[in-house]
Amino acid sequence: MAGTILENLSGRKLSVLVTLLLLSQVACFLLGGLLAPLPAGHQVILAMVCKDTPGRQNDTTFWLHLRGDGKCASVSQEDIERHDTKMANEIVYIFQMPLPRGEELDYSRWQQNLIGVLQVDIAYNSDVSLIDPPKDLQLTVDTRLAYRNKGDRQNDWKLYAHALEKRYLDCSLKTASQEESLFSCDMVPLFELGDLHHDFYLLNLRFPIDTDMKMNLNLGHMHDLTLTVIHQNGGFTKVWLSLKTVLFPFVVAIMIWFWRRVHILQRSPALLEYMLIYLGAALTFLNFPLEFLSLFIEMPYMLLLSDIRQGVFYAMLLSFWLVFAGEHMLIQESPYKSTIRSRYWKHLSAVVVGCLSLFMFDICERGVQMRNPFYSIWTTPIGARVAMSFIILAGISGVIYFLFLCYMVWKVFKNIGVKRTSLPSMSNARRLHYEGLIYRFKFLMLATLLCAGLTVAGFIMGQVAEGQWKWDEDMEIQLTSAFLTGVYGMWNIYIFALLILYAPSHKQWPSNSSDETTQSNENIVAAAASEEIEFSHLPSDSNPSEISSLTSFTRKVAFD
Amino acid sequence: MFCLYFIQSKFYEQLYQSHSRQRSHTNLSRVQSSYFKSNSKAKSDASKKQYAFIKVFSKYSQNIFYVGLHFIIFIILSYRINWSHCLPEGRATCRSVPGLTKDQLELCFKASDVATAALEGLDMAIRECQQQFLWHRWNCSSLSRKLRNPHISNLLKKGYRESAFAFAISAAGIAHNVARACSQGRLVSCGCDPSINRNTLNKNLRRSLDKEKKLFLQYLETNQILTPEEEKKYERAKIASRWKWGGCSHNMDFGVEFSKLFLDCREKAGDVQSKINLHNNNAGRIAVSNHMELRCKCHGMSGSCQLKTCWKSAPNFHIVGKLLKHQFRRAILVDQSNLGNGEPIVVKKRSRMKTQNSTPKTKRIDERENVERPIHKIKIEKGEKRSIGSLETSLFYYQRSPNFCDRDLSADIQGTSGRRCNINSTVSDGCNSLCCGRGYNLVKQKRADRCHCKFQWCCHVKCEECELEEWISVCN
Repeated sequence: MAGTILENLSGRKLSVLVTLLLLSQVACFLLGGLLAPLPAGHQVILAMVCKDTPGRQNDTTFWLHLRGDGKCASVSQEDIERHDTKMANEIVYIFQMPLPRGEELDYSRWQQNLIGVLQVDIAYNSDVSLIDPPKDLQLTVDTRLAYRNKGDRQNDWKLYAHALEKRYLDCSLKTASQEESLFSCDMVPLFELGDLHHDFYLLNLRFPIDTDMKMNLNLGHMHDLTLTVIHQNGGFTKVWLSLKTVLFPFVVAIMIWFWRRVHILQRSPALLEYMLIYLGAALTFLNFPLEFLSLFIEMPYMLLLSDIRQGVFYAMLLSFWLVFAGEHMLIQESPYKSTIRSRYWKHLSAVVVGCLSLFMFDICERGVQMRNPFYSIWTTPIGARVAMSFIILAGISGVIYFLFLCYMVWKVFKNIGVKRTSLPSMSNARRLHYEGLIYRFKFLMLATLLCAGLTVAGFIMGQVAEGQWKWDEDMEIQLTSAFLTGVYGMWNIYIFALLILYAPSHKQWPSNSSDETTQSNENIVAAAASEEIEFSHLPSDSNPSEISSLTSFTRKVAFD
Repeated sequence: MFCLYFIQSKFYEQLYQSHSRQRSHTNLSRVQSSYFKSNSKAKSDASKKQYAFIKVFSKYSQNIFYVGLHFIIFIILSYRINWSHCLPEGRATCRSVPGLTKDQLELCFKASDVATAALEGLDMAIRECQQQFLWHRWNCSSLSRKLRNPHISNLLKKGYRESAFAFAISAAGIAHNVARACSQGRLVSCGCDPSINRNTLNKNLRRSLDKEKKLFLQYLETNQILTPEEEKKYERAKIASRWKWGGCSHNMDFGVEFSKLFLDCREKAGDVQSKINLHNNNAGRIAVSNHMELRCKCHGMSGSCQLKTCWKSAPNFHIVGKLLKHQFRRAILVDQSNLGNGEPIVVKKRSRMKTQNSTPKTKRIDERENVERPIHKIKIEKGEKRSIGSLETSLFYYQRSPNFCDRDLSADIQGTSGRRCNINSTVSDGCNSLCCGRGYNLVKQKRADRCHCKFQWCCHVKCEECELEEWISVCN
C-alpha cells in the first residue's frame, strides 16, 4: 500500500480528528447511560392452576386463560395438596403474559423478543422414601403457546406453537419438614421467541404422568412453577436503533469516499484496501437498521439474523487484524501482489473454523427455534454434547487465532527493530516508506489495543453492574446500557477512523525532498541494485500512482 | 354509580386533609428516608446505626412514616378505586374479618383485591407458624381460632417471644402473599413504578406532594375536583408507556409497602409496646426481602453472557418461616420501662444474659454507653458477636413467656392436653416436656390412603386403597 492519509496528515489535523472521534465516543456512552433504560426487562410470573376440561386435553384449539371473559376457575395450592393424587393428570398450569400492572399491559413490537425460563419447585411427601431426587430428573411437559391481539375477543386465543418437550432438572433440597420435603430446581429454558409480534401471549403447561411410558413418575408434585419472561426493553430498542440509524449513513458515506479515492489511483486496489472495504461492508451490514422491519412484519428469524450479522462483523474484524499484521511484515516474500488466497488462507483458517462452528451451533439452536420455539439444544444430553463440542471448537480456534496474531505482531515488532537500525543509512524514499509503514502499524496497534481493552473492561463492568444490584439503584446512569452503546459506538468509530486514515493519500512526498532525491539518486540506484530487491516489489512501484512518481523518476534517472 | 362517586369524594377529602399535615412534615420525611438508607445498606458504622435505630422510636417519624407510605400507595390505588366495581364481594371479605381497625377497613375497601391477598397472607403465615411450632408447647393454634385475624388474639397484646414471632410472620406473610398475588396476575393494582423502593421514597413523596398541590390549585380555580376520568387516562397512559420503555419494578416492593400500610397503622399508640410491635413487623418483612434469590440468564449473541438479565425471586415461605424461627430463638429482651416523658428508653439485653446477670466487664461497657448516650441506653453483651446492624433483623420481646402448659382462655392459651407428642425424644417435642409432666396416652390410629397408583396419559388414574395403622402418643 502506498502512503496513506495518516502519514501525511499534520499533527494538528490529526489531533482535531481524534478529538472529534473521542467526543462522539463519549456521546455514544452517554446516550446509553442517560437515555436508555436497562437493555432487558423481565416479569416473574407464578403459575395459576386450573382444572382441565375432560376430553379436551389433546385439542390445541382449546385454551384456558386467567383474565377477562371465560376465565377458568383457579385451584388453590391447598386443594391440590389435600388431594390424594395431587390432582395428577387433571390440572393445567397457566401463564398469561404480560402481567397486569396498574392496568392490563400489552407487549409492544419495540420489545423485540421474548425469552421464557422455567423455575420448578417440587415437593415430595415424606412417606416417599426418596431423600435425594435423582440428579437428572426428567420432566416431560406438554407446552402450548397462544397469542391474541388487542382488537380480539378476550377468549380468542390462537395457537402459536405446540410441543411435547423434555427437560432435565437438577434439584437441591430447600427445606424438609415432617410432611414434605421441598426441592428447588435449577431453572430450565422454556421458549425463545425471535420476535414479539403479538400483544398478549398465553402458555398452557401440562405435566402428563404415565406409568407405562415412565413419564414424570418420580417427580413428586409441583409446588411452585415460576416463569420468568425476559424481553428487550422498548426504550433500549429505540435508543439502539436510532444509534444504528445515525451511524449507518456515516459509515456508508465514508466507504464510498474511500473507494472513490482508491479508484482515482491508476492501480488496482491493494489487499489491505480490499480488507478495509470488506470490513466497512460488514459494519454496514451490522448497522443497517433492519429491526424497523420487525415493527411491521413477523420475523421470527430476527435473533438468528442478528447473531449472523454480529458474527460476520467479528469474523471480518479478526481477519483484518491478521492481514494488517501480515502486510506490515516489512519483508516482501513473493514478487506477486498478495491476495487472501495466495498468502493468508492458512492464517485465516482459524477464524473460518471458529466462525463456522459458532454458526453451526447457532443454526442448531436458533435455526430450529424458528420452527419450534420450545426447542433448545441444551436440553438433551446428546444435544448438549454436540453444542458443547461446537463451542469448544470455536474456543480452540479462538485461542489459536490469538496466539498466531500475537506471534505475527511480535514478528512485526522484531522487523521494525531490525529496520530501525538500518533506517539512517537508507535512501530518503525508502526511509520514508519504512517510516510510514512503522507509523501506520504502531498507530493501528495503539488504537486496536485501546478499543479491545475498553471492550473487555466494558464487558466486565457490565457484568459487575448487573451482578450488584445496589450499584444501579443509587446511580442515575444506566451502566449496562451505557457500556453496550459505548462499545458499539466505539467499534463504529474505530472502523470509521481506519477508513479515513488508511485511505491512500494524494499528497506528494514532501516537496523539499525532491531536490534531495535528484541529488542523491545515484545512491538510490546503487541501493536498488545492491541492497535488496524488495524495493522494486513495493506495490506502489508495480502499480504506478502519484506517490510512486518519485520512484519512477529515480528509475528513469538510473536508466539514463 | 352513586356508590362510586361516594368513594371517590371520600378519598379526595382524605387527600386534602392529609395535605395540610403532610406539608409541615416534609423536611422530617427526609430524616425518615435517611433511616431507611442506613437500615437497608448496613454500611455505616456502629454508632450511626444505633442512632438511626433509636430514631425509629422517636416521636414524629412514626407519623410521617405512615403518611408517606399512605401517600405512595394512595397514588397507586387512586385510580384503582374507580376500578373496584362497588362489588360487595371485596367488601364482604373486609367485613367478615373481625378486629380490623378503621384505617385497615378503609384500606380494605379501597383496595379490596389487595386486601384479600393480604388476608390470605395472614392465613399462610399462621399455617407456617403452626408448622414451625408443631412440636412446641405453644403451637400457634390460638391465632387461627378467631377467624383469620391473628391480631385480635390476646396473645398479641402481650410482649412474649411468641407474640414477637407472630407479629413478624404476619407481616412477612402479607408482604409475601401480596407479591405472590401480583406475580400471579391476580391483582391489577400492583403498579409498575420502579421508584417505589426505599432509596427513592423521598423523591416519590415529593412528586406526590407536587401532584397534590396541583390538584388543590386546580380545585381552587375551577371549584370542582378535576375529572378523575382524565386523571385516570393520563395515569394509565403513563404506566403503559413506562412499561414499554423500561419494564416494571419488582413485585416485592409493592408487597412490602402494602404490608407496612396495612399492619403498621395498627400501632399508633407510640408507646414502647407498639414500637416493639412495629419493629417486629419490620423484622418479618426484612426476613422476606433480604433473602431474595438472585437468578441470572444470559441471552447475548448465540446465548452468550454478552447480555445478562438478573432478577430476584422471592424465597419460599417455609424458608422465611425457618429464618424467623431462628430469630425467635435469639430474640432480644427489651426493657419495658416507659421512663422519661414521651421519649421511651429502650434498653436491650441478651435474653440469656438475664439469668447470669451482667459480668463486671459488660457493666463497664454499659456505663460507658450511658455516659456517651444518656438518652439511648443500649446494653449489649460484648462476648456476643452480634453487630448492631443485625438488631433490625432480630425479634424483640419484653415479657417472659408463660409455660403454655395449661389452658387459659383469657390469655388465649390452649394448653397442651390432647397434643401429639414424640415418645422417643427428650427435647421440646418429647412427651415429657410437651405434656408438662401430666403423662400421655397411646392411641392407635387408622388411616385410609390411596396407594400404588397407576397413571395413564391421557387421563386416567387408578389407585388402590391402603390402610395404615400407627400408634401415636397424645398428652393428657
